Amino acid sequence: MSAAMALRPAASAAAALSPDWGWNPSVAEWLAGIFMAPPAADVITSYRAGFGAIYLAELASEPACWAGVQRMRSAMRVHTPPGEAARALAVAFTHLFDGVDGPRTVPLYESAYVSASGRLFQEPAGEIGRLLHQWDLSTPDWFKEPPDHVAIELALLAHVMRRADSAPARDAEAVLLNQHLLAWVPLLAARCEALDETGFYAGAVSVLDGFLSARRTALQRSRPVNGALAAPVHLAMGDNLSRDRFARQERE
Amino acid sequence: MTPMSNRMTDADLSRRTLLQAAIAAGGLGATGASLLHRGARAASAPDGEVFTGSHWGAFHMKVADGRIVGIRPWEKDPHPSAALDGVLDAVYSPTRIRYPMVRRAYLEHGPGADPEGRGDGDFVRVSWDQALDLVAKELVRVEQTYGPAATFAGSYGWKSPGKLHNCQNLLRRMLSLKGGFVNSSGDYSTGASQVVLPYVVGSLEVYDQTTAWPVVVQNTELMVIWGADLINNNQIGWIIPDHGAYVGLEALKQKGTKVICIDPIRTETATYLNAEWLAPRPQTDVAMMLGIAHTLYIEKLHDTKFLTQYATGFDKFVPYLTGQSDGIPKTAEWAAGICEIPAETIVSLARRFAKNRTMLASGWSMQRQHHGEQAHWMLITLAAMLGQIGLPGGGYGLSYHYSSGGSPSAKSPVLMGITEGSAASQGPAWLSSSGAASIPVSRIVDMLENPGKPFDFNGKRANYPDVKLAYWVGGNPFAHQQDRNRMVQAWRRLETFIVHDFQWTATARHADIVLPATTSYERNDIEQIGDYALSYIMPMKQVIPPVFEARNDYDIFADIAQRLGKGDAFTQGRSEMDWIRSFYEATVIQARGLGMEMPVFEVFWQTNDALAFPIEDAGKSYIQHKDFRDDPLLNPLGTPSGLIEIYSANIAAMNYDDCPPHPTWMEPAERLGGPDTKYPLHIDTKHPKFRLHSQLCGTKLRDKYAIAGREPCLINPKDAAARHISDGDIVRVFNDRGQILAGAHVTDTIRSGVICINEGGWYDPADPRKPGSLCRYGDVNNLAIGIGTSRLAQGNCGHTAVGDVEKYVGTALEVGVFRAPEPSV
Repeated sequence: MSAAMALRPAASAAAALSPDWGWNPSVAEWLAGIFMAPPAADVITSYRAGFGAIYLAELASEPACWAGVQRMRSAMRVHTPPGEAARALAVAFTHLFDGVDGPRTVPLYESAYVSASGRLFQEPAGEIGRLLHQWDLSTPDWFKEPPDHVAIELALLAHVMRRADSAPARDAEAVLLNQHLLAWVPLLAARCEALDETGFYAGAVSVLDGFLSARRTALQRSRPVNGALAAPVHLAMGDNLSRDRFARQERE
Repeated sequence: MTPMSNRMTDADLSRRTLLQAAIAAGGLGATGASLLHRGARAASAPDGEVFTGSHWGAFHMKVADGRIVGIRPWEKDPHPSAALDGVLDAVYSPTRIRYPMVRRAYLEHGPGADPEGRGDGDFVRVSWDQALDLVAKELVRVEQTYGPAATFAGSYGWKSPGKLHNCQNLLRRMLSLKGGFVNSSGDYSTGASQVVLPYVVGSLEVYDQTTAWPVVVQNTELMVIWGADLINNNQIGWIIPDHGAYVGLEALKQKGTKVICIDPIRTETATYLNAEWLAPRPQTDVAMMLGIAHTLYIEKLHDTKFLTQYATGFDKFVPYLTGQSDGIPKTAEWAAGICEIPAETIVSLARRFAKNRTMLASGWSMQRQHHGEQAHWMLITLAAMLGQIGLPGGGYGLSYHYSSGGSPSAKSPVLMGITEGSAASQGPAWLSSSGAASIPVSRIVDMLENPGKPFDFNGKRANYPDVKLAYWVGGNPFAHQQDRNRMVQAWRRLETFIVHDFQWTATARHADIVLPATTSYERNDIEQIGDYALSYIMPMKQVIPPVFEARNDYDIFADIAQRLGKGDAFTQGRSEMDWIRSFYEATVIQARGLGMEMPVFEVFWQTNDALAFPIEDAGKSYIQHKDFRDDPLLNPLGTPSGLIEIYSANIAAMNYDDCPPHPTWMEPAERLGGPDTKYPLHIDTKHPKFRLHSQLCGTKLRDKYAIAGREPCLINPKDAAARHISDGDIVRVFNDRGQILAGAHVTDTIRSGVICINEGGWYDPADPRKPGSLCRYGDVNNLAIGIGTSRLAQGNCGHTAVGDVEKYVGTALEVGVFRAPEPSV
């Protein structure tokens, strides 16, 4: 990592993270992936000196994300061999998120933070489940998680962001941001900060928190889109062709 | 859309476009782009209420959006448990085991790798197929390499109720098909008494029905509750509790019956019944009873006619009682010197016991200590001297605190359940001794430490097997086994440790392979209500689909059996509902024999309610041992003499120096005020109000009782002041065996010289690799001694522990780490 890449960007009056509407959904999906599974050794190699490094540098160019990215980078430098670094992060992931440590668990579910009981599968899971249903979406069988898992909320956020030229999608994004993600990600961040000894996940949650806050600021300053409200566009997000189409739309 | 940043250039945009495309293509591993598919999913469970139950009672679970959103006690439950709310946490706890996991060192290097790393939480998620292949392969390897006595399946614990999903029977059913295994006998609750009492009164007694509550309420003049908290402990049942004890307690309270509670703690029961509270030194009950017996004898208050007609061996006991045989008369004064109850009180107790219709209602704690065999033997001897055994409201009862013993029994069939298979032994499941070998259940650490070495048990001598693999289901030995640090060391001898559970208990954390099991609410089953009443049969209906990747134990074992080529033998071709129907229909035939006609299965199952059986006069008026008293020749006890054996020739023949042939006071290894005892405080343990042993410790219920995020430690104001401890302080409790943190609760409801920490707190070592490491939460079994009660019963000694306590001044610990996430504002 070059010194230049570690320079802190100047805080911008336009703290909005989103200069184009394809980038932000992509960041949301990347963040979702961070909380789905720990990074493998080849991914860490990439974060250090490959495509991943460029990606992190791009993220770090945003003031709201810079500090978090720095912590992620630092955590990946503690162990030189990528395999050892991956192992350390896998251990951290298990300790923090898989419940192994009992009371010291950091749940990745909104319900655990916003319900008085602290249980999983509470009303937020129902609300996100209804949103998924409304957008005619579901999670695959291999991801047996409740709907209010941070990764699912972020994937849904990405989905509606990509349809932000429709009023329902904009409304849904506002609901997801204001009534869900921003209501609990700061608590997740505080808990992760207290318990993550590697700093990687505390950094990642910091990036997430910064991303969401910047997004909210951006939305508050945004202008309405011209034209009639559009119905949600139903697309299979796992479909590469669909993603390519989004990319083409953005370039157009 | 959002405004464009002034800083962005076309080059920036192009770079970001390329980056996002690469991310979407999986350039950095998993991404959320693959998470959402088109097509909404139907609700996984219909909205409505489903009838089911657990160890805390029967209840209705409300379902909305495929989730359990509420729990409502069954309308016919007279006293719903205070812990019922925690049942939801069991399903939806953040500490739920979500996927099959394998300890990393084990996965990478195989069995026996880095045993010191057990407990440090370094697990790798694997697929179900990978996990089951690993288990099946390891079972075969251990069997072929070391033989059948190298696999331990004496898995013990408070598994979920239900006649099919009895995980412990299912485990042994699968292993019986595999080859052989080492089993265990007995249990942690009554290890000493269940072995000695068959010699004394010919039955287990501890699990037998006691004189029914209506009889007690009507006839008992003096209720003596000795070492038991009926209000606290009857919340739970081994099956589905009927909570009938609370009906009896309420009636007793209304009648105003005189109650004496003998306990180092002023219990909830004592408060509820406004009882007279006597607080002897713990572990000195036998001495106190001897002092009462001596008074009865010298004041000729004992019932010689009863002793002659219904008991044997009193003549051999008297020389010991009077001191003729050992030079020590067991006078009230002698007893007072040991138990710290004044001699005049002991004398008074003897007179009051003899004068009134007296029920000696004892808990089991007095036999879970060194020489525990003596306690109930002496209690029954005392009751025999009083001569009220078999009379209405008199005698003794050993289960008034457990699963509503004394709740009137219904006229009902007994529901059968899944068996261990061809190797099944006859008799109660907790006394099972099928398998290639068997050990007394609490001797597992001795077994691991001493492979091939001999041990004594109940008149026999055998050698400990050399176990390499342990398989645990439905239990948490890292809570219920004593002397944790010794256990952690011994556990390292295992090459493989496999655990099924639904929560990350300390035991699951110490496993090599962890398989996520469903809770009762994610599967169908059938059970009876009321351990003693057996007054209903209820459907335990599946409420929601399995959460995360949890699977039923039945299905897990069926798949392992399939990999062993024994799948059909395991399932007998039956599905979950096939089994449940078969249990029910066998009961229908039994009921016909009792002159009752049950509805067909479909009707029963669809009713969404429990099927009631009548409680007739015979149940309400039941008097324990009345038949024996009425005609001891026609209805003899199961002892060699057919009588109460105050002296046992059979035990005498065993020649155990730690279990003489009649009730005897023997100094335990350590006790409060003992002659050679190093530490000044007794460490008492009791059943927690908001847990079932360790169950529900990982839930939000902890907020109701934890102090400074830790298990509470009750301490008398005098003891606290002497140590500069204030209410709410974090304290370190320690002895030579271990050290734990706890939260001080300064209270005069506990006698001086005794502290109390509830059993079942999750073991949370600061450094799992280092035995002796400070337990940060408060697992009291770090401090209890790990020896057997005696060579007779080899029961556990969980109540034998002394130590000291100090205000914690060590390295500052982040208390916040024990907090559950806080609600948003």
